[in-house]
Amino acid sequence: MVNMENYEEYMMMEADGELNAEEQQALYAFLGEHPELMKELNAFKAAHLQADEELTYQFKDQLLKEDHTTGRNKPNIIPFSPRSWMTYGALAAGLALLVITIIKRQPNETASNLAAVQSNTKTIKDTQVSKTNAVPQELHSTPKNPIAYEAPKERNIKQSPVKKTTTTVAPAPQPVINPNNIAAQKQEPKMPQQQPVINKVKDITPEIKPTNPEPQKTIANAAKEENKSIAPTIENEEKENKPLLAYLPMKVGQKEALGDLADAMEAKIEKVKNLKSQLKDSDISFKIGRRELFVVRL
Amino acid sequence: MELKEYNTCVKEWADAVFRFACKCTGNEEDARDVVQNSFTILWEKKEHVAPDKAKAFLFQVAYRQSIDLYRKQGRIIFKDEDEDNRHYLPGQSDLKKILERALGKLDEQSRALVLLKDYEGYRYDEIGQITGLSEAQVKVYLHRARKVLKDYLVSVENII
Repeated sequence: MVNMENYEEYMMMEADGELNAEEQQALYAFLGEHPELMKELNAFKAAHLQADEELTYQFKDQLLKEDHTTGRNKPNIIPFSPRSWMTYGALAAGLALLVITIIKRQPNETASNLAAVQSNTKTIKDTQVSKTNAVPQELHSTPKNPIAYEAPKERNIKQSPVKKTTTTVAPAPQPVINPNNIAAQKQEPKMPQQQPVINKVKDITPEIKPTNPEPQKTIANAAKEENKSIAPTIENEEKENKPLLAYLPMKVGQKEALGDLADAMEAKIEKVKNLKSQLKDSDISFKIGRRELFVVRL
Repeated sequence: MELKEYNTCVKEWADAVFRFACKCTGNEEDARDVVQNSFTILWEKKEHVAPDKAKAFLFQVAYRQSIDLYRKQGRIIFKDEDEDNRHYLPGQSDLKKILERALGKLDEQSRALVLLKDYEGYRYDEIGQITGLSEAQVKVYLHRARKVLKDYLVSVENII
Protein backbone atom coordinates (compact mmCIF):
# COMPACT_ATOMS: atom_id res chain seq x y z
CA MET A 1 0.00 0.00 0.00
CA VAL A 2 1.40 3.35 -0.99
CA ASN A 3 1.57 5.90 1.78
CA MET A 4 3.51 9.04 2.71
CA GLU A 5 6.44 6.99 4.04
CA ASN A 6 7.06 4.85 0.97
CA TYR A 7 5.67 6.84 -1.94
CA GLU A 8 9.18 7.98 -2.99
CA GLU A 9 10.25 4.36 -3.39
CA TYR A 10 7.19 3.68 -5.49
CA MET A 11 7.89 6.81 -7.53
CA MET A 12 11.50 5.79 -8.19
CA MET A 13 10.43 2.28 -9.11
CA GLU A 14 7.80 3.76 -11.39
CA ALA A 15 10.49 5.96 -12.99
CA ASP A 16 12.70 2.86 -13.40
CA GLY A 17 9.82 0.84 -14.87
CA GLU A 18 9.94 -1.72 -12.08
CA LEU A 19 6.33 -1.54 -10.91
CA ASN A 20 3.76 -4.06 -12.02
CA ALA A 21 0.27 -3.04 -13.03
CA GLU A 22 -1.19 -3.43 -9.56
CA GLU A 23 1.54 -1.36 -7.93
CA GLN A 24 1.20 1.28 -10.64
CA GLN A 25 -2.53 1.44 -9.97
CA ALA A 26 -1.90 1.84 -6.24
CA LEU A 27 0.66 4.59 -6.86
CA TYR A 28 -1.55 6.59 -9.17
CA ALA A 29 -4.47 6.16 -6.75
CA PHE A 30 -2.27 7.63 -4.05
CA LEU A 31 -1.24 10.46 -6.36
CA GLY A 32 -4.90 11.04 -7.07
CA GLU A 33 -5.32 11.68 -3.43
CA HIS A 34 -2.13 13.79 -3.34
CA PRO A 35 -1.82 15.63 -6.66
CA GLU A 36 0.89 17.93 -5.27
CA LEU A 37 3.26 14.92 -5.32
CA MET A 38 2.88 14.47 -9.08
CA LYS A 39 5.59 17.09 -9.62
CA GLU A 40 7.97 14.99 -7.58
CA LEU A 41 7.19 11.92 -9.69
CA ASN A 42 7.98 13.91 -12.81
CA ALA A 43 11.30 14.98 -11.25
CA PHE A 44 12.21 11.35 -10.63
CA LYS A 45 11.32 10.52 -14.20
CA ALA A 46 13.42 13.44 -15.45
CA ALA A 47 16.43 12.35 -13.39
CA HIS A 48 17.26 9.68 -15.91
CA LEU A 49 20.35 9.85 -18.01
CA GLN A 50 20.27 9.62 -21.75
CA ALA A 51 23.06 7.74 -23.49
CA ASP A 52 25.32 9.91 -25.59
CA GLU A 53 24.98 8.26 -28.99
CA GLU A 54 27.75 10.39 -30.43
CA LEU A 55 30.23 8.78 -28.11
CA THR A 56 31.34 5.68 -30.03
CA TYR A 57 34.22 3.26 -29.90
CA GLN A 58 36.46 3.86 -32.91
CA PHE A 59 38.55 0.70 -32.81
CA LYS A 60 36.03 -2.05 -33.39
CA ASP A 61 38.05 -3.48 -36.26
CA GLN A 62 40.80 -4.34 -33.82
CA LEU A 63 38.32 -6.31 -31.73
CA LEU A 64 36.85 -8.28 -34.61
CA LYS A 65 38.23 -11.73 -35.23
CA GLU A 66 38.86 -13.32 -38.61
CA ASP A 67 36.55 -16.03 -39.75
CA HIS A 68 38.84 -19.05 -39.98
CA THR A 69 35.97 -21.38 -40.82
CA THR A 70 35.76 -19.98 -44.33
CA GLY A 71 39.46 -20.51 -44.71
CA ARG A 72 39.07 -24.19 -43.99
CA ASN A 73 36.88 -24.59 -47.02
CA LYS A 74 39.56 -23.22 -49.25
CA PRO A 75 42.01 -25.72 -50.75
CA ASN A 76 45.19 -26.07 -48.81
CA ILE A 77 48.06 -24.51 -50.72
CA ILE A 78 51.42 -25.75 -49.59
CA PRO A 79 54.06 -23.14 -50.20
CA PHE A 80 57.15 -24.45 -51.90
CA SER A 81 60.35 -22.62 -51.45
CA PRO A 82 63.10 -23.06 -54.04
CA ARG A 83 65.08 -25.15 -51.60
CA SER A 84 62.19 -27.52 -50.94
CA TRP A 85 61.56 -27.70 -54.68
CA MET A 86 65.11 -28.92 -55.15
CA THR A 87 64.63 -31.51 -52.46
CA TYR A 88 61.38 -32.75 -53.94
CA GLY A 89 62.88 -32.70 -57.41
CA ALA A 90 65.84 -34.80 -56.32
CA LEU A 91 63.50 -37.20 -54.57
CA ALA A 92 61.28 -37.48 -57.62
CA ALA A 93 64.26 -38.00 -59.93
CA GLY A 94 65.55 -40.75 -57.68
CA LEU A 95 62.17 -42.44 -57.67
CA ALA A 96 61.89 -42.14 -61.43
CA LEU A 97 65.33 -43.65 -61.92
CA LEU A 98 64.47 -46.52 -59.62
CA VAL A 99 61.20 -47.21 -61.37
CA ILE A 100 62.75 -47.02 -64.83
CA THR A 101 65.55 -49.37 -63.79
CA ILE A 102 63.05 -51.86 -62.45
CA ILE A 103 60.87 -51.61 -65.53
CA LYS A 104 63.76 -52.00 -67.91
CA ARG A 105 65.07 -54.96 -66.04
CA GLN A 106 61.76 -56.75 -65.89
CA PRO A 107 61.26 -57.15 -69.67
CA ASN A 108 64.73 -58.70 -70.08
CA GLU A 109 64.10 -61.11 -67.30
CA THR A 110 60.73 -61.98 -68.61
CA ALA A 111 62.13 -62.37 -72.09
CA SER A 112 64.82 -64.76 -70.94
CA ASN A 113 62.34 -66.62 -68.80
CA LEU A 114 59.99 -66.70 -71.71
CA ALA A 115 62.63 -68.19 -73.96
CA ALA A 116 63.47 -70.87 -71.47
CA VAL A 117 59.88 -71.71 -70.75
CA GLN A 118 58.97 -71.63 -74.41
CA SER A 119 61.71 -74.05 -75.30
CA ASN A 120 60.66 -76.43 -72.57
CA THR A 121 56.98 -76.24 -73.24
CA LYS A 122 57.29 -76.50 -76.97
CA THR A 123 59.56 -79.45 -76.72
CA ILE A 124 57.05 -81.17 -74.55
CA LYS A 125 54.23 -80.21 -76.82
CA ASP A 126 56.02 -81.36 -79.93
CA THR A 127 56.92 -84.65 -78.46
CA GLN A 128 53.35 -85.16 -77.50
CA VAL A 129 51.74 -84.06 -80.75
CA SER A 130 54.09 -85.45 -83.34
CA LYS A 131 56.94 -87.68 -82.49
CA THR A 132 58.13 -87.96 -86.06
CA ASN A 133 58.26 -84.27 -86.95
CA ALA A 134 61.38 -82.22 -86.69
CA VAL A 135 61.85 -79.53 -84.05
CA PRO A 136 59.90 -76.32 -84.91
CA GLN A 137 61.77 -73.25 -85.99
CA GLU A 138 60.84 -71.18 -82.97
CA LEU A 139 61.88 -73.87 -80.61
CA HIS A 140 65.45 -73.63 -79.50
CA SER A 141 67.38 -76.62 -80.62
CA THR A 142 68.93 -78.64 -77.91
CA PRO A 143 72.53 -77.65 -78.64
CA LYS A 144 71.64 -74.12 -77.70
CA ASN A 145 71.30 -75.20 -74.14
CA PRO A 146 74.90 -75.33 -72.91
CA ILE A 147 74.12 -77.58 -70.01
CA ALA A 148 72.42 -80.06 -72.21
CA TYR A 149 75.10 -79.79 -74.86
CA GLU A 150 77.97 -80.47 -72.53
CA ALA A 151 76.18 -83.03 -70.52
CA PRO A 152 77.24 -86.07 -72.53
CA LYS A 153 80.90 -85.31 -71.92
CA GLU A 154 80.38 -85.33 -68.18
CA ARG A 155 77.98 -88.13 -67.95
CA ASN A 156 79.82 -89.97 -65.22
CA ILE A 157 80.49 -86.91 -63.09
CA LYS A 158 77.81 -86.36 -60.53
CA GLN A 159 77.70 -82.57 -60.35
CA SER A 160 74.12 -81.69 -60.78
CA PRO A 161 70.76 -83.33 -61.04
CA VAL A 162 70.78 -82.35 -64.67
CA LYS A 163 73.54 -84.82 -65.44
CA LYS A 164 71.86 -87.39 -63.33
CA THR A 165 68.76 -87.14 -65.37
CA THR A 166 70.64 -87.38 -68.61
CA THR A 167 72.34 -90.53 -67.51
CA THR A 168 69.46 -92.19 -65.83
CA VAL A 169 67.08 -92.38 -68.71
CA ALA A 170 69.26 -92.88 -71.70
CA PRO A 171 71.13 -96.05 -70.78
CA ALA A 172 67.97 -98.02 -70.56
CA PRO A 173 67.65 -98.64 -74.25
CA GLN A 174 71.39 -98.72 -74.77
CA PRO A 175 71.96 -102.44 -74.50
CA VAL A 176 68.99 -103.07 -76.66
CA ILE A 177 69.90 -100.65 -79.35
CA ASN A 178 72.52 -101.45 -81.89
CA PRO A 179 76.06 -100.28 -81.30
CA ASN A 180 75.75 -97.73 -84.03
CA ASN A 181 73.30 -95.79 -81.90
CA ILE A 182 75.97 -93.57 -80.53
CA ALA A 183 74.21 -90.69 -82.20
CA ALA A 184 71.25 -91.39 -80.04
CA GLN A 185 73.44 -91.10 -77.02
CA LYS A 186 74.68 -87.80 -78.27
CA GLN A 187 71.14 -86.65 -78.63
CA GLU A 188 70.49 -87.43 -75.05
CA PRO A 189 71.48 -83.90 -74.00
CA LYS A 190 68.02 -82.86 -75.12
CA MET A 191 66.75 -84.48 -72.00
CA PRO A 192 67.92 -81.94 -69.46
CA GLN A 193 65.51 -79.40 -70.87
CA GLN A 194 62.80 -81.45 -69.29
CA GLN A 195 64.39 -81.81 -65.94
CA PRO A 196 61.27 -81.94 -63.83
CA VAL A 197 59.65 -84.45 -66.07
CA ILE A 198 62.69 -86.63 -66.17
CA ASN A 199 63.10 -86.52 -62.45
CA LYS A 200 59.63 -87.86 -62.18
CA VAL A 201 60.56 -90.56 -64.62
CA LYS A 202 63.55 -91.29 -62.51
CA ASP A 203 61.29 -91.82 -59.59
CA ILE A 204 59.19 -94.11 -61.63
CA THR A 205 62.17 -96.22 -62.72
CA PRO A 206 64.63 -96.05 -59.85
CA GLU A 207 66.27 -99.31 -60.71
CA ILE A 208 67.95 -97.82 -63.78
CA LYS A 209 71.53 -96.88 -63.08
CA PRO A 210 73.73 -95.32 -65.68
CA THR A 211 77.29 -95.87 -64.56
CA ASN A 212 77.26 -99.60 -64.20
CA PRO A 213 77.18 -101.28 -67.62
CA GLU A 214 76.33 -104.78 -66.48
CA PRO A 215 73.37 -103.86 -64.36
CA GLN A 216 72.27 -101.77 -67.28
CA LYS A 217 72.07 -104.80 -69.33
CA THR A 218 69.96 -106.56 -66.77
CA ILE A 219 67.79 -103.55 -66.37
CA ALA A 220 67.59 -103.15 -70.04
CA ASN A 221 66.59 -106.78 -70.37
CA ALA A 222 64.00 -106.33 -67.71
CA ALA A 223 62.79 -103.22 -69.41
CA LYS A 224 62.78 -105.02 -72.64
CA GLU A 225 60.64 -107.71 -71.16
CA GLU A 226 58.29 -105.31 -69.46
CA ASN A 227 58.07 -102.65 -72.17
CA LYS A 228 58.53 -104.53 -75.30
CA SER A 229 56.38 -102.12 -77.18
CA ILE A 230 58.11 -98.99 -75.93
CA ALA A 231 61.71 -99.90 -76.51
CA PRO A 232 61.54 -100.44 -80.25
CA THR A 233 59.58 -97.26 -80.64
CA ILE A 234 62.20 -95.29 -78.86
CA GLU A 235 64.84 -96.96 -80.92
CA ASN A 236 63.23 -95.86 -84.13
CA GLU A 237 62.62 -92.35 -82.90
CA GLU A 238 66.19 -91.90 -81.89
CA LYS A 239 67.20 -92.72 -85.35
CA GLU A 240 64.86 -90.10 -86.73
CA ASN A 241 66.04 -87.50 -84.25
CA LYS A 242 62.67 -87.29 -82.48
CA PRO A 243 61.79 -84.92 -79.64
CA LEU A 244 62.97 -85.67 -76.19
CA LEU A 245 59.65 -86.71 -74.78
CA ALA A 246 59.69 -89.63 -77.11
CA TYR A 247 62.67 -91.05 -75.27
CA LEU A 248 60.88 -91.11 -72.00
CA PRO A 249 59.61 -94.48 -70.93
CA MET A 250 56.27 -92.97 -70.03
CA LYS A 251 52.77 -94.09 -70.51
CA VAL A 252 50.47 -92.24 -72.85
CA GLY A 253 48.38 -90.82 -69.99
CA GLN A 254 51.42 -89.31 -68.39
CA LYS A 255 52.40 -87.72 -71.64
CA GLU A 256 48.95 -86.22 -71.94
CA ALA A 257 49.39 -84.80 -68.47
CA LEU A 258 52.61 -83.27 -69.62
CA GLY A 259 50.75 -81.76 -72.54
CA ASP A 260 48.23 -80.21 -70.16
CA LEU A 261 51.07 -78.82 -68.13
CA ALA A 262 52.55 -77.32 -71.26
CA ASP A 263 49.21 -75.73 -72.15
CA ALA A 264 48.95 -74.21 -68.68
CA MET A 265 52.46 -72.83 -69.01
CA GLU A 266 51.65 -71.36 -72.37
CA ALA A 267 48.59 -69.69 -70.90
CA LYS A 268 50.80 -68.14 -68.23
CA ILE A 269 53.19 -66.97 -70.89
CA GLU A 270 50.34 -65.30 -72.75
CA LYS A 271 49.37 -63.53 -69.56
CA VAL A 272 52.90 -62.29 -69.13
CA LYS A 273 52.92 -61.08 -72.73
CA ASN A 274 49.67 -59.21 -72.16
CA LEU A 275 51.03 -57.65 -69.01
CA LYS A 276 54.08 -56.56 -70.91
CA SER A 277 51.98 -54.94 -73.62
CA GLN A 278 49.87 -53.21 -70.99
CA LEU A 279 52.96 -51.84 -69.38
CA LYS A 280 54.06 -50.44 -72.71
CA ASP A 281 50.80 -48.53 -73.09
CA SER A 282 50.65 -47.23 -69.53
CA ASP A 283 52.01 -44.12 -67.89
CA ILE A 284 53.44 -43.66 -64.42
CA SER A 285 52.53 -40.48 -62.62
CA PHE A 286 54.26 -39.25 -59.48
CA LYS A 287 52.11 -37.45 -56.95
CA ILE A 288 52.64 -35.89 -53.55
CA GLY A 289 49.21 -35.75 -52.01
CA ARG A 290 46.96 -34.56 -54.80
CA ARG A 291 49.69 -32.67 -56.53
CA GLU A 292 50.99 -34.36 -59.65
CA LEU A 293 54.68 -33.77 -60.05
CA PHE A 294 55.39 -35.43 -63.41
CA VAL A 295 54.40 -38.32 -65.63
CA VAL A 296 56.69 -40.98 -67.04
CA ARG A 297 55.46 -42.29 -70.39
CA LEU A 298 56.69 -45.80 -71.14
CA MET B 1 29.45 -18.65 -28.47
CA GLU B 2 30.97 -18.88 -31.88
CA LEU B 3 33.20 -16.45 -33.68
CA LYS B 4 30.30 -15.05 -35.66
CA GLU B 5 28.38 -14.22 -32.49
CA TYR B 6 31.45 -12.70 -30.96
CA ASN B 7 31.87 -10.38 -33.91
CA THR B 8 28.20 -9.51 -33.65
CA CYS B 9 28.77 -8.59 -30.01
CA VAL B 10 31.62 -6.33 -31.01
CA LYS B 11 29.48 -4.54 -33.53
CA GLU B 12 26.46 -4.22 -31.27
CA TRP B 13 27.92 -3.63 -27.82
CA ALA B 14 31.34 -2.06 -28.18
CA ASP B 15 29.88 1.45 -28.25
CA ALA B 16 27.64 0.79 -25.25
CA VAL B 17 30.47 -0.68 -23.20
CA PHE B 18 32.67 2.22 -24.18
CA ARG B 19 30.07 4.81 -23.09
CA PHE B 20 29.52 2.98 -19.83
CA ALA B 21 33.27 2.74 -19.15
CA CYS B 22 33.72 6.35 -20.18
CA LYS B 23 31.23 7.54 -17.56
CA CYS B 24 32.56 5.14 -14.94
CA THR B 25 36.25 5.91 -15.32
CA GLY B 26 35.86 9.56 -16.25
CA ASN B 27 38.09 9.53 -19.34
CA GLU B 28 38.08 7.96 -22.77
CA GLU B 29 41.60 6.57 -22.64
CA ASP B 30 40.83 4.35 -19.67
CA ALA B 31 37.49 3.51 -21.23
CA ARG B 32 39.22 2.22 -24.37
CA ASP B 33 41.40 -0.06 -22.25
CA VAL B 34 38.32 -1.30 -20.45
CA VAL B 35 36.57 -2.09 -23.73
CA GLN B 36 39.58 -3.86 -25.17
CA ASN B 37 40.09 -5.96 -22.05
CA SER B 38 36.40 -6.78 -21.83
CA PHE B 39 36.26 -8.15 -25.37
CA THR B 40 39.56 -9.94 -24.94
CA ILE B 41 38.16 -11.75 -21.94
CA LEU B 42 34.93 -12.46 -23.78
CA TRP B 43 36.92 -14.01 -26.62
CA GLU B 44 38.90 -16.13 -24.23
CA LYS B 45 35.74 -17.29 -22.46
CA LYS B 46 33.56 -17.50 -25.54
CA GLU B 47 33.09 -21.21 -25.20
CA HIS B 48 31.53 -20.73 -21.77
CA VAL B 49 29.40 -17.68 -22.59
CA ALA B 50 26.03 -18.08 -24.28
CA PRO B 51 25.30 -15.51 -26.97
CA ASP B 52 22.30 -14.13 -25.10
CA LYS B 53 24.45 -13.61 -22.00
CA ALA B 54 27.32 -11.97 -23.81
CA LYS B 55 26.16 -8.42 -23.22
CA ALA B 56 25.75 -8.95 -19.49
CA PHE B 57 29.16 -10.64 -19.42
CA LEU B 58 30.75 -7.68 -21.16
CA PHE B 59 29.20 -5.18 -18.75
CA GLN B 60 30.16 -7.35 -15.80
CA VAL B 61 33.80 -7.29 -16.86
CA ALA B 62 33.63 -3.62 -17.77
CA TYR B 63 32.00 -2.75 -14.44
CA ARG B 64 34.70 -4.52 -12.41
CA GLN B 65 37.52 -3.10 -14.44
CA SER B 66 36.10 0.41 -14.35
CA ILE B 67 35.58 0.31 -10.61
CA ASP B 68 39.05 -1.13 -10.02
CA LEU B 69 40.65 1.37 -12.36
CA TYR B 70 38.82 4.26 -10.81
CA ARG B 71 39.72 3.20 -7.31
CA LYS B 72 43.31 2.45 -8.24
CA GLN B 73 43.88 5.81 -9.81
CA GLY B 74 42.00 7.58 -7.02
CA ARG B 75 40.60 9.98 -9.46
CA ILE B 76 38.08 12.47 -8.29
CA ILE B 77 35.96 13.56 -11.13
CA PHE B 78 32.58 15.11 -11.47
CA LYS B 79 33.02 16.54 -7.97
CA ASP B 80 33.68 20.01 -9.17
CA GLU B 81 31.43 21.51 -11.73
CA ASP B 82 34.40 23.08 -13.52
CA GLU B 83 36.13 19.72 -14.06
CA ASP B 84 33.34 18.01 -15.89
CA ASN B 85 33.16 20.56 -18.66
CA ARG B 86 35.38 18.26 -20.74
CA HIS B 87 32.66 15.64 -20.76
CA TYR B 88 30.22 17.87 -22.46
CA LEU B 89 29.77 17.74 -26.14
CA PRO B 90 28.44 20.67 -28.15
CA GLY B 91 24.70 20.69 -28.66
CA GLN B 92 23.83 18.83 -25.47
CA SER B 93 20.72 19.98 -23.72
CA ASP B 94 20.84 21.76 -20.41
CA LEU B 95 19.08 18.89 -18.69
CA LYS B 96 21.72 16.56 -19.94
CA LYS B 97 24.46 18.81 -18.69
CA ILE B 98 22.85 19.08 -15.29
CA LEU B 99 22.46 15.33 -15.03
CA GLU B 100 26.05 14.79 -16.09
CA ARG B 101 27.12 17.04 -13.30
CA ALA B 102 24.81 15.29 -10.90
CA LEU B 103 26.30 11.99 -11.94
CA GLY B 104 29.67 13.26 -10.87
CA LYS B 105 28.39 13.64 -7.36
CA LEU B 106 27.76 9.94 -7.02
CA ASP B 107 30.27 7.36 -5.87
CA GLU B 108 31.63 5.00 -8.51
CA GLN B 109 29.35 2.13 -7.59
CA SER B 110 26.13 4.17 -7.57
CA ARG B 111 27.19 5.81 -10.79
CA ALA B 112 27.66 2.43 -12.38
CA LEU B 113 24.23 1.31 -11.16
CA VAL B 114 22.57 4.40 -12.60
CA LEU B 115 24.34 3.97 -15.90
CA LEU B 116 23.37 0.33 -16.13
CA LYS B 117 19.79 1.24 -15.40
CA ASP B 118 19.44 4.33 -17.56
CA TYR B 119 21.78 3.59 -20.41
CA GLU B 120 21.10 -0.11 -20.86
CA GLY B 121 17.70 -0.48 -19.20
CA TYR B 122 18.69 -3.45 -17.07
CA ARG B 123 16.29 -4.56 -14.38
CA TYR B 124 17.29 -4.61 -10.73
CA ASP B 125 17.94 -8.34 -10.70
CA GLU B 126 20.03 -8.11 -13.85
CA ILE B 127 22.06 -5.27 -12.39
CA GLY B 128 22.54 -7.44 -9.32
CA GLN B 129 23.96 -10.23 -11.50
CA ILE B 130 26.33 -7.86 -13.26
CA THR B 131 27.58 -6.08 -10.18
CA GLY B 132 27.49 -9.03 -7.84
CA LEU B 133 25.06 -7.25 -5.52
CA SER B 134 21.75 -8.51 -4.32
CA GLU B 135 18.58 -7.15 -5.85
CA ALA B 136 17.73 -5.41 -2.55
CA GLN B 137 21.18 -3.79 -2.46
CA VAL B 138 20.79 -2.62 -6.02
CA LYS B 139 17.42 -1.16 -5.16
CA VAL B 140 18.77 0.67 -2.12
CA TYR B 141 21.89 2.03 -3.86
CA LEU B 142 20.02 2.96 -6.96
CA HIS B 143 17.22 4.74 -5.08
CA ARG B 144 19.77 6.63 -3.10
CA ALA B 145 21.54 7.69 -6.27
CA ARG B 146 18.29 8.53 -7.97
CA LYS B 147 17.29 10.77 -5.10
CA VAL B 148 20.61 12.60 -5.37
CA LEU B 149 20.07 13.13 -9.08
CA LYS B 150 16.52 14.30 -8.57
CA ASP B 151 17.43 16.65 -5.77
CA TYR B 152 20.28 18.08 -7.82
CA LEU B 153 18.03 18.53 -10.80
CA VAL B 154 15.34 20.19 -8.72
CA SER B 155 17.83 22.42 -6.97
CA VAL B 156 19.33 23.59 -10.26
CA GLU B 157 15.93 24.25 -11.69
CA ASN B 158 15.11 26.31 -8.68
CA ILE B 159 18.31 28.29 -9.19
CA ILE B 160 17.58 28.80 -12.84
